[in-house]
Amino acid sequence: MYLATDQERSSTEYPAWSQIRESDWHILAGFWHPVAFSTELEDGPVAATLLDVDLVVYRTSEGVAVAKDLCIHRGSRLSGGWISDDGACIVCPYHGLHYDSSGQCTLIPANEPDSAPPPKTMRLVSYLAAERYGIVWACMKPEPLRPLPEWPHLDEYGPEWLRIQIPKGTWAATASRHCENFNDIAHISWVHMQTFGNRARPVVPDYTLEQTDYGLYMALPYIEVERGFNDDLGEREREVFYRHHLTYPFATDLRVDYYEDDGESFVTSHFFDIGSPVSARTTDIYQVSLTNIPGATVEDYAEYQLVTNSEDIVIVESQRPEEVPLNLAAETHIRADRLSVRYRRDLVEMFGLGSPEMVA
Amino acid sequence: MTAPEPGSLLHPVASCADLVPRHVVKARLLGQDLAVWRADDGFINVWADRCIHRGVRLTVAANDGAELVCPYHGWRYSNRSGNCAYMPAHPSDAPPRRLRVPAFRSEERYGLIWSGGSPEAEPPRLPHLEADDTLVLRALPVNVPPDLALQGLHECSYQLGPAAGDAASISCDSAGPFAVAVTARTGSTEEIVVHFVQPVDGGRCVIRPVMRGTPAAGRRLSILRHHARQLEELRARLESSAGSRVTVRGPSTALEPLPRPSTTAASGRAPQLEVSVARKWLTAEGIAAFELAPMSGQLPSFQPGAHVDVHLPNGLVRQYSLTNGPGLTSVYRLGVKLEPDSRGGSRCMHDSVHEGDTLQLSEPHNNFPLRRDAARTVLIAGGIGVTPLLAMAQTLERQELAYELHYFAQSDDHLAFGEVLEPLSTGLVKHLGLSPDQTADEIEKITHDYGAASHLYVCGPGPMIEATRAIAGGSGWPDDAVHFEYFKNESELHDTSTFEVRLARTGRTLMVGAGISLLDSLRDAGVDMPSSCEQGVCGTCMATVLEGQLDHQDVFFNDSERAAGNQMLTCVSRAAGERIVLDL
Ligand code: FES
Ligand code: FES
Ligand SMILES: [Fe+2]
Repeated sequence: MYLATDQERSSTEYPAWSQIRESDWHILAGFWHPVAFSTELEDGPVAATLLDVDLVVYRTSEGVAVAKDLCIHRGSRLSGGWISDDGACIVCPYHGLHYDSSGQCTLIPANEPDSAPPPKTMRLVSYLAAERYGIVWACMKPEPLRPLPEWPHLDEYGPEWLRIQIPKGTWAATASRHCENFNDIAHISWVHMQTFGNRARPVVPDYTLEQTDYGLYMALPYIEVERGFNDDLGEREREVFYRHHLTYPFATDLRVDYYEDDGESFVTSHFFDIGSPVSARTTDIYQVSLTNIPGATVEDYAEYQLVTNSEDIVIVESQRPEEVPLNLAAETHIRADRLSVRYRRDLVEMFGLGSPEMVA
Repeated sequence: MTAPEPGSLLHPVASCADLVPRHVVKARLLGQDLAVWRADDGFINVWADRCIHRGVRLTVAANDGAELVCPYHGWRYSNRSGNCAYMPAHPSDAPPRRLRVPAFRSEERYGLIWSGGSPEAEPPRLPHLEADDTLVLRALPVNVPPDLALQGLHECSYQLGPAAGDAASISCDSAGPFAVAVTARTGSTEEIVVHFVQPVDGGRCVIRPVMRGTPAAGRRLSILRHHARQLEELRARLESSAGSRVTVRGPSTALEPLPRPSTTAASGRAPQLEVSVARKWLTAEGIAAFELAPMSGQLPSFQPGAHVDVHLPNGLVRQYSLTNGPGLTSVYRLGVKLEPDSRGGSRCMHDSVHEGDTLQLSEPHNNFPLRRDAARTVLIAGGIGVTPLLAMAQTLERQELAYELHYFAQSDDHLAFGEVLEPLSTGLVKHLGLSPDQTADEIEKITHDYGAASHLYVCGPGPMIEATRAIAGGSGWPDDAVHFEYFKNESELHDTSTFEVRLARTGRTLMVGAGISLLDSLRDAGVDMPSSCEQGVCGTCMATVLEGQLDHQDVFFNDSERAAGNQMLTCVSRAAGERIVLDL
């Protein structure tokens, strides 16, 4: 009913109810993660959850901003509020307090108009925010561990490219399970039999795998089955080349190249995929594609990607344990899993994730 | 009297009727999720519901009657043992033996499947029921701890059969620690239902009622309906009275997985299995067939192409291929040809080994793995060399993959295992009574048009293997598409290095011979080395190297770690020189 008189305003960063282990939480909080597509902010502030912290994401004339979804006055949700008419502030729906993009309270409408401006200490719990690739990113620590993914293609692309933003999805799976799945080759021939998988070609050749400054690079050929998703030509094999650029911890640029059936035109598509860790076992999926396939349409492409995702979801959500075991001996690995083994090792060796609990 | 530990008893996990052919049923017992499935040979598998690769639930796997196929990357697991039999991403590798889904006990009684328990535990045998005359009523999951359900059942006053009427006198008595028998009497008629309680986890259980006797056909349906309704009411009562007492869900007692069928760590050269000769017969001119059954427990599973080392009564050790098809997992079936110049191996098998005798075997090893992804699979058998190819043909047949089995033999009387060949008719081509030149001509015809993704497997006398390799090579078959196993196993070991290993901590020195991994040699020497993938991928078997040049064959280390040269994976890597020193 009441909090005790000695209970202070919540000051710890780590949400006590989180199922993410505390040591892992502080590491993950140091990375940039998506919290909204830019297009979501057109009608005002929106709510998001990142690492079990409820956030408000809003755009003022100064740019995008991210803060705890909590008005410091009486604790109402700012995401239920709106942007002031001059575009400079977010307005709390309860008593109309105004906050600018830095989180500073600039107006208390209940005070006499000629009272002193709100004190400098009256500010929201704000976080680093950035906007790039049509996505709003947040980092909950003052010093990000890593920069945003470097995807120049997605910054600037000529008129021959079509950009497709896939509707945001939520998976009941951890971000690393999702990320490993997106970078898993051996599953394609099994899981993607409605889309591009080829049951007759399950063999994974020894592929290129390199450690880079952003994460991992993997390259290999595959023979997809084209199932005439947007034409009537029926099933046929198609040789493609995959290049995966995995930016730690959860972002991938998958580039797919192939020659069209005529053997002449060479086409390229990029599938950018970022998992945003909502909580220990929930992940929001942000996907954007670029393609120069002549005649491709946004509708067809988005639908194809959504069907592909639906094939993955059932499997990835069924994986147990839900958490990715960072003790390599806890699951079984084959040569095709070199990427996932390296990924797990790097999460431990480079960032210290999965460190054993301290024993008192 | 203290109550027995729930973990030491067998509990029901499903009813036999749940196990529809080619399906996998989900169950949970004492906090452990289970995948339950029946193979075509009738064996019921109760496995942990988790693929050992990336943790996908096996209840969503496909049951092909002999193997379970995981939907994520297509790994196949064998009936009975739970061993991984095939990994499609690496079709030419034989999966390491220790890759295995934990398998639990399974017993059938009273129309239910029983699992868990200590090795000695038996499913209950009750005076109330007769083993083969029961009616399994609908099972009912309830959200209360097992003890509350049992207590509720004891207070049960529910009317049994609809015919019993209000006048029936009801009595409840305990039928073991996890069962309550409810008896209703009216005059001379008596109806008994035993309610078994399956402890799901700390807060849940499943009540599985089994009725004595088979009701008349006309009454069956009304009995089932009546009991379903009564139990629904019981559930409502139990759950509302349990209210606040519903405890946390979660594992309370762990189930003991079945022990691995062999006793020692898998070095593979020492005898590990004791079998008895269940059957011996002359399957063809000069060829004796043997069926070897386990003395206790189960036989380890095998992959097509595998052989076992048989330790003969005269002290010799001989390798014989298993002819078993994927459905045959209760015995190993071998064929032995009497060699005229036998040094005592085949002679001893023919003359001195009789039905009822005991033999020592190694676990199955596979140096002749079968790919299941070929566009064309050609099997060429010369005489007794047919044995591993029979295993392959049956596997391909089961998976409905096309193949040709060319069986070269002197005459009809020399064709072994006719009862296995019979159902293979579509893929089988017999070549009888041909001279070596005629044989070569035939092989020429069989192999003349090489197509991409074709694979050829040949086993038989040495000269025939040589000839086949040469002819196929001439027709454009690449080396890695021609697989062979010399039937006499002299050249079975790989021509890899031999080197010396010094263990710095214990001061011991051992020799690693060709064809044996460093990991196995260490284990043979009693060093307790963990491992997982045994393919140089996971790093589990790592050892610190103090001295010596390394021949790294893993894919685990990156270039700098490799260059540092102070660590190695013992499952695949070897010494580059003659000697290494390990910090062990
Ligand atoms: S998770 Fe089962 S085969 Fe990979
Ligand atoms: S056991 Fe996995 S690398 Fe050796
Ligand atoms: Fe996928």
